[in-house]
Amino acid sequence: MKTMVPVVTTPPPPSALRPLVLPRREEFVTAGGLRLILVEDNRVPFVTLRLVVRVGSAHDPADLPGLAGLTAHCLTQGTRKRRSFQFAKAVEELGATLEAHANRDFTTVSATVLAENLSTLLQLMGETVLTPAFAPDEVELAKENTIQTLRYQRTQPNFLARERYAQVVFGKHPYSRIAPTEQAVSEMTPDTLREFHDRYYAPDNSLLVVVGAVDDAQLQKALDKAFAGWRPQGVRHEAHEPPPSRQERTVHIVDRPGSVQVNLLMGHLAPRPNEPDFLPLEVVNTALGGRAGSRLFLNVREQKGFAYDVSSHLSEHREASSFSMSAQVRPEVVGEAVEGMLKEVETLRRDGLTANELDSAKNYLNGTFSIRLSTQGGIASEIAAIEMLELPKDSMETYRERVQAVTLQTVHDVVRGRLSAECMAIVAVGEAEQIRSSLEPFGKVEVRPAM
Amino acid sequence: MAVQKAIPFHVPYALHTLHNGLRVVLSEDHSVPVVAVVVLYDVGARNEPHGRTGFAHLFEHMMFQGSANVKKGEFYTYVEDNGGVLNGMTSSDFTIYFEVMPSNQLELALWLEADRMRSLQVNQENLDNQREVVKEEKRLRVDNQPFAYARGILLYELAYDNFANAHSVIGSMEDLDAATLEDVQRFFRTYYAPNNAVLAIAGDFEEQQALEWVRKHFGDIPPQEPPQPVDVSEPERSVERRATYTDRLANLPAVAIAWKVPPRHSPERYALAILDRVLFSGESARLHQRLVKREKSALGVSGGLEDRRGPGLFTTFVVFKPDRSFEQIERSIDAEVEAIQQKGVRASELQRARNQIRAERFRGVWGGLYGLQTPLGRAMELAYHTLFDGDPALVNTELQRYLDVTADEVREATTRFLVPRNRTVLHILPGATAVHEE
Repeated sequence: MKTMVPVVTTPPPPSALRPLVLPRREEFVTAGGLRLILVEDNRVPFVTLRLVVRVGSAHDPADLPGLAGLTAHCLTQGTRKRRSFQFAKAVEELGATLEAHANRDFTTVSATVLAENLSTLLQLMGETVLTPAFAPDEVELAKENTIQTLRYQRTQPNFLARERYAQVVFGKHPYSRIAPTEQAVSEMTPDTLREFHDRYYAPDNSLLVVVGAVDDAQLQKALDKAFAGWRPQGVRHEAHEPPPSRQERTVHIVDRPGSVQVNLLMGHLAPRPNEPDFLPLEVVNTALGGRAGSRLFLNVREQKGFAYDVSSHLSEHREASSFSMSAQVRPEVVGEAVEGMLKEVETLRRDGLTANELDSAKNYLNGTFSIRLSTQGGIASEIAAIEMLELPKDSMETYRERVQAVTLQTVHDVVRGRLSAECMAIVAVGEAEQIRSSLEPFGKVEVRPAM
Repeated sequence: MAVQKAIPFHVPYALHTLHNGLRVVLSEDHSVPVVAVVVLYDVGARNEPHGRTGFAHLFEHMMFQGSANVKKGEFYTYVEDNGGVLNGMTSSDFTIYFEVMPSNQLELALWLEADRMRSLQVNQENLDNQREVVKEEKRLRVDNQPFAYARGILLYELAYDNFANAHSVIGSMEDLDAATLEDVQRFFRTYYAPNNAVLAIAGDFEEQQALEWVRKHFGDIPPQEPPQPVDVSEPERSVERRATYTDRLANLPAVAIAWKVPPRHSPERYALAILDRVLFSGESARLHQRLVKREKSALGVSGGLEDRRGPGLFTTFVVFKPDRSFEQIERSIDAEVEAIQQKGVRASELQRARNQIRAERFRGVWGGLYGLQTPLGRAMELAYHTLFDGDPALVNTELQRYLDVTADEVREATTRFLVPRNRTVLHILPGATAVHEE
């Protein structure tokens, strides 16, 4: 017989904290000058790789938005040695994945592979990065599909919201473009892609991160071979004028006929990830709308039932970040929802966080940091971000201490200096007729069609 | 270059059953100070009667609304304030809840899960509030997205004949409006009992200590009469079913096809999993090569084997360019299927599929969170195998069943199941403003 134990009515205390051993990073340089950061992880017979190249949509020529994206896409569509089918077949027969994608600041060629097949995969990665074919028929098909995809994206409310938001918040800065234009895509040729590739895809502009069950001597040998002949280009990056800060609140409606919901995205510029204000703002974002127990979630969703998803975000870009809040609500409550969300920002500016909220947010950031580091991909992304966003080299090692060091005073200073309900751009995607009058109280309204 | 020998990988586990019928499966791994707790309940949309569709999912929301010692909103804050993440998911087959925590907070997660399993407290206000939240969830995920209704709901309603399988998890909003507090309480008593659940813990903990905490918090939650089993059997089809739907939010046409296939663990299902990779997995897969690359008619191809505990579906979804016809797209899909029925799959395709399946175990299929490299992925896999199959050992042994599939078996399964009379074909017409031509 088991003895009856009374029901426990209060939360059990934590047991002793176990240390998080940060993955040990080793750094090498290949014969050709490519820097490599290796983290040995033998928990699974699997390897995750990220080759990051510092070229993103911010590098697109003004008249050719989408060039970095199309170049990344076509990179894996065949090499001088293999047609696209042969190349995909060679990768996939290993059980591997290999794909390339450009964001605003950098391009990531990411790969995963069973550990036993690593050296073959590296050979293929080298081949595609050094000698992409940019064959005319592949580029033609990619252009056609990009244009069709763009038209399809214009039916998606989330895309429309992000597109307009970027235009309004980043102004003339290249971050204002999140997608190509049909005009620009039609003008791109295999030569445009090749020149862009040759200019930026170079060892002195790249970094390879490898996390997994790897023998480092073998890896170095395979890498020297895979990236042999890759030459530094002395890559230079143009400086952009920083985007202007906003002085007033404005409303931007994207008229999407047939909408049954309004997609709201509102915000303004935020500090760069390597500025001292960034981390305290990350703490604030966590408390305001970065998690389920946040103010926005508890008030707008759990109390009011206005939205399924309501949250806030702090984006990480090299030249300028953005702080934003988002929600998808039914048209009848759009005014109340916007008011409720702006009010949370005003309350925060007036009162800051409570001591309890501050501790909770710090615990959350530090706990989820450990969770992120439980996957190879998570470790690789952290390391790549340090390099691409110009964070201090010891960012990972000092992260938890830096989070712990954030005080109520720092938080309050940062909130007052960096957040403002009065200067937000409010983007709303929905039926303009239904929502216009509810949004007029918040600022000057501008309406544009979705298509 | 020579391919080296496969490196072995093994998930350790221990299975215990408490006096009240709660099955507990534990898997230790001390590499990261993180622990995942999963509670998997044997209830899903399949258990919903007519007139109560969407209830299992609405109920999942109610599980975050408070219990005897955890007030509304506190479930989130207890977990997140202590550095953890959490969520819940409802499918046709099951409802699952999880917390991933710093490992020194394991007992907290167990206490939270036990408190709501023992003493969920719901009131009218919370029910009304979560009903509104779920309605917004449906508008967000379904009503306001191109293709979401046709592909995610209508296709299943047409492809399955048995109501238990056919109706959607999100359900009908009229049914949700009709749900009462009494329904919520009855549902809780019937399905949220320890003998109708599996608790899985994976990550950084000591087995004896964890078991002690499990017994302390879950040990005296009373068991309930086991719920009535659901009949999920599907009649055989004798004729193909076809339908057309106009999607007012879409500006491109699409075709969706679903063939009925046998349940989890039937021998043919492993062959169909290989077929899934041959047709769909990666850019060298047959349908991508044919429709996107050679014929240049599709923007993208997706689909494959959709596993259920009962009869499943093998689906295909193709969004194609406005100057192509439904007939052209269907003919191309048919041609690839027929080629496999006649000539089978190549040895290189079989090898590719095997390696992809081996790698997917670590990569995870949904963006990495659920692969076997994470505590959460291990806890989920162990919970599924324990509840659905009664055998957590499958987390290690099932792989071999995929690797043993022969080319002949793939051909036979394709010939038997991917035939017109066994399928539903849905044409989705674009109803949004025609795309502008410059």
